[in-house]
Amino acid sequence: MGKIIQVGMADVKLTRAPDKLMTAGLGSCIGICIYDRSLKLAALAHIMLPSSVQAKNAQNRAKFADSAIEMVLEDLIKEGASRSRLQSKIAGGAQMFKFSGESEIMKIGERNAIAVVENLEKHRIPLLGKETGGNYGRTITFDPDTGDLLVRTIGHGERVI
Amino acid sequence: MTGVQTCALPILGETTAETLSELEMSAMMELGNILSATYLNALAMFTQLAFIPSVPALAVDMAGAVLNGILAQFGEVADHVLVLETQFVREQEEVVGHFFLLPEPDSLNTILSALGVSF
Repeated sequence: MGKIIQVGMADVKLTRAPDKLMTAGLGSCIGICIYDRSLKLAALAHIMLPSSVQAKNAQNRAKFADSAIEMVLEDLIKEGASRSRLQSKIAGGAQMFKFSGESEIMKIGERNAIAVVENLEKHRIPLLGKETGGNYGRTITFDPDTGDLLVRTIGHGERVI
Repeated sequence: MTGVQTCALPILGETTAETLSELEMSAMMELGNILSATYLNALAMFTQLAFIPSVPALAVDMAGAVLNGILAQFGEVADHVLVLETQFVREQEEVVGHFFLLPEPDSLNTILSALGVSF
């Protein structure tokens, strides 16, 4: 039995099968799994914000969609992954609170999802599964052995993408 | 001068926003509103600062996910947040739940210096 490796907020972790990667309580944040099936090697990034470009403080690269994806790609390639074999799955980007005046800041989940998809496209990483949006939290577990991403919710079911 | 974000965490067990009635949701929001206003008043007396609560909003879900969206907006400017956790005790019985106060990053220095903490 492999271990389950926890990934915190604004954090990136890599692992190989039989270990799994898990991140709990994704709200507006997004969990990005990028993996090389033939090596059974995977990375999970838990990003909080869409872009490091406008950020006042971009020191932690794992916090932003653009810089976290770059960081993950560098790490995976260092571990021997082939760029052309990399695939991805993402989950999260919900809007947890409903405010009467819908401000930009509250649509952060949606903005995160758009930024993640754009950055994956930019790096030509195929996106094989996407479970984003809605108004509920998600806990996700990625299995590098099968490439399955298990998405668990409270009251909105459980699914594998 | 100080903005504060507060959030009501799930205190209803395995309940989802879908199974809560309109009235229950509104009651929860009002509860959060009263609690935060009382809490802010106490803090205001303590620090001699004026605190203004943000608009009430409700989310019933995984605790991490609920905090996630609020922390994300702080993430835009800072890597650290001040989280004040409060426990409520009624007579002998402890109330199961948490009350977190998350001041906006810009307010943090003001609050800390009023409390005599150098940061």
